[in-house]
Amino acid sequence: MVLHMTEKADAPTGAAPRGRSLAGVVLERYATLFLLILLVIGFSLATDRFFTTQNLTNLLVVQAVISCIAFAAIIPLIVGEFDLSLGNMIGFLAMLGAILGQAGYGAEVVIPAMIAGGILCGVVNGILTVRFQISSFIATLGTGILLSGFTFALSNGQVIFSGVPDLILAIGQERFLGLGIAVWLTLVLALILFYFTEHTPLGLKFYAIGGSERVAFLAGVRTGRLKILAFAMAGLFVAIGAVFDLGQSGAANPGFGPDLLLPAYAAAFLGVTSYRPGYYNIPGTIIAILLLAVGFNGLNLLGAPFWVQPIFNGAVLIAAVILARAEARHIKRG
Amino acid sequence: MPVVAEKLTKSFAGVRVLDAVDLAVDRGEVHALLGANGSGKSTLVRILTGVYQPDAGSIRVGGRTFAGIASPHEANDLGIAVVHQEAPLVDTLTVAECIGLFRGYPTRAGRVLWRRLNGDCADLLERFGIAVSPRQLAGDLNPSQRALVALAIALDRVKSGLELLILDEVTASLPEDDAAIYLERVAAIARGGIGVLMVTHRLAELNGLAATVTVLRDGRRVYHAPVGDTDEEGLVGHMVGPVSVDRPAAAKATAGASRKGAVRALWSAGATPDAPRAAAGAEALRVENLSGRTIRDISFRVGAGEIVGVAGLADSGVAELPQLLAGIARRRGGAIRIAGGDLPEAAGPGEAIDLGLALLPADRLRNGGVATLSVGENVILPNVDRFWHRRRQRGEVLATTISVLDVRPPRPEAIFGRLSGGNQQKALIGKWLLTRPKLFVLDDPTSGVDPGAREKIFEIVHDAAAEGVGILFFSTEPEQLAAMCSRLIVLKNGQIATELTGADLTREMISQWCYT
Repeated sequence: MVLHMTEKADAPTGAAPRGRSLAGVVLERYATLFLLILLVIGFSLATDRFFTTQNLTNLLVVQAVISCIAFAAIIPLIVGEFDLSLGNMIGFLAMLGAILGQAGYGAEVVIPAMIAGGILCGVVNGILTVRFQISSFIATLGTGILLSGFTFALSNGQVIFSGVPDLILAIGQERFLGLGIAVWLTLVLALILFYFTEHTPLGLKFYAIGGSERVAFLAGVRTGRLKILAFAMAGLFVAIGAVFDLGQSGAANPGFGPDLLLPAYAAAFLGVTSYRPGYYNIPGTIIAILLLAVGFNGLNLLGAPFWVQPIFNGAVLIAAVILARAEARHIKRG
Repeated sequence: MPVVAEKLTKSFAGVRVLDAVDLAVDRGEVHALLGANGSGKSTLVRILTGVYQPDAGSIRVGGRTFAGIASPHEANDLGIAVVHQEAPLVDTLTVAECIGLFRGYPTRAGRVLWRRLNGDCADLLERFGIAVSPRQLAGDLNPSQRALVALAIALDRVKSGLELLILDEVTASLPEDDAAIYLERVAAIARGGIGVLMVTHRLAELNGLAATVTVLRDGRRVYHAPVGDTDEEGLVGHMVGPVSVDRPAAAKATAGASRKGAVRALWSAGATPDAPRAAAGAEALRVENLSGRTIRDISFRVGAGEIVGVAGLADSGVAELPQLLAGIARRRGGAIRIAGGDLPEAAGPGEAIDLGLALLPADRLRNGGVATLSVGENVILPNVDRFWHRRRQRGEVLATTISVLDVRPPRPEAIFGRLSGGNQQKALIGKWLLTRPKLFVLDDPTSGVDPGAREKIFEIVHDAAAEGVGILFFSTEPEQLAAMCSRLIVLKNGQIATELTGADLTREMISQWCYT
């Protein structure tokens, strides 16, 4: 994981001469970053409401929750599995926190309960996939639907807006050095995850399982346990996202959650196109989240109609993946 | 009218794999085609079935003479059917549906006529005396039924005038009892007036079935006579050829004299603590009464620093034994001790590695390395915990591994899947030697590996043995086993048929024991 910086910018390898220029390689690896910079410059020139402290900090605050879901999507993707329950899970965990708050419990109970709930959901997903050998796509679809039922059962279909503990509200709404506390915490989480995926033995084992579970197993890696761990980590990140959301909105809506699933996966896939092309990676995902957020925000400020947004997101995702395909082909065997 | 091939010659990249080979298969006879790996059997079969075109020679089928057969489709049109070892069946479909994939589905107005399909298939199976229902799921068939349905599909592809049926090592994956049922059907088809060319490794199958035998060696026909003119030992003699006394010995000497200390350099790189060298006479592996699916009640040992070979045909248990030792397949009984430590029955690869076992698996593409990761990441994978927070050491170890094993390109960041087969294999050997194994199991380490890399691999294996690593060496090439090993176990039907040492450990003896 530490060596790839030189790999891509290096001379062609012996097996497949590539004959591409350094500039071409850099452009391919960071196309989404360049597009992001271009958009920032473009929007700044087009409207003076874009490049203001107020607008930019707001823009970032909104990304804290979606970032957590995207991180939760990436870890199972690295080990070669899908988790489709993430959207319903965040709705359930936010509702769980709101109900406990309404019942009078403080943050010292609510936050650990949400985190424990998230990890438990993840472990269940993992066990269904690993021990019961159900395709993760199906297993997590099932648990997701199940969780949406629990959410409605807990809330009886009502929005819960009273009794959210102060600490959670502070995490969601207070600022520190100009940025929301949730944004700072998301950054810390991103740094930890970056270090984990790129610089720890466990990270390498995760990528090895995703590359070839059989080879990792033969190398003595406990593939089953690590896959369960990956799902549990996803649950943890969803729980963190649920805390941010509960704090930001001060309420829990039983319909909240499922809408976040596809944008999170879009960011994860878009992230594959940069930093370490062909691999799910944290820096690439963050660039992707920012790109989609800036696009949304800028187009809004320019007064684009509401339907331009999904068209922009879909087009960027497809274009970036096509652009990165050439690079991804090199990584495929042979 | 017999099918006659005359003076067939074929070269690949300047290497002559078939050299003026003659072959005649009479109607109504079963003709056996024998030869060791690389003798040219497969090339000959592929020429007869239209996959390859010969450089010279001719093929006479049905009274007409051709310079070559343009395609497998044309071979079918000429009346040549071929059955391969793998039955072309989809497990989730019924037998009739599988057959329909090849012969087409009868339809009316776009709707499949299931009744007619099943009826046609029942007729087809009955015509060749195959007792299988067309409505049975292909996945539920037993091995002999699968092989028979494959036979029916092959015969069905020849619409009219069947001249020649070729069986390409069809029985190799069948248990002996199933093979007997299968061969009975083949004999019946031959009696119906069709020539059958049977490629096989099992000489015992020829008795009472084959009328004539042809032996190929190094692309030439070296023997051709009615069955019964010679015994099995004589046939094996023709397959392996005259004794070349000095070659294995010479190989042993050069390998032994090669650059010493490569493995030691590997182990001392990155200043990993020096483990005490295994004492001479220490035990690397002890297997007692081990049983598995094929393996039945075998016992043997490998001493530290010893190179023990294992030979046997595909169905003898040679494929299963490495899996049992490495904790990949479940054993049905017996004990495995690796370097004095007991491997529990429920243990997985992790436990086996911890005890000091390293396995270089046979299927490099599927089991060897992670194609999408770098060479360095692949090499470090079983050792990764040791090098966390030791970036400099990790770099040193990778650089040493790559230079000691001569991996090209010599860059740890190269993507593993882009390396050539030989370089992949060298990197994987480095990966496993880095775990400082007490027992290194190599399962056919040179398959798909270029000659240069082969020499390097032999050299490293000898060097590892000199450092006290016990080696268990599986190979399909008797020459290699004779040259590498100090002792050799021959497996047959899941049991140890014999153990060869000293002057008995020659490629002729190995072949003799494997084939007869």
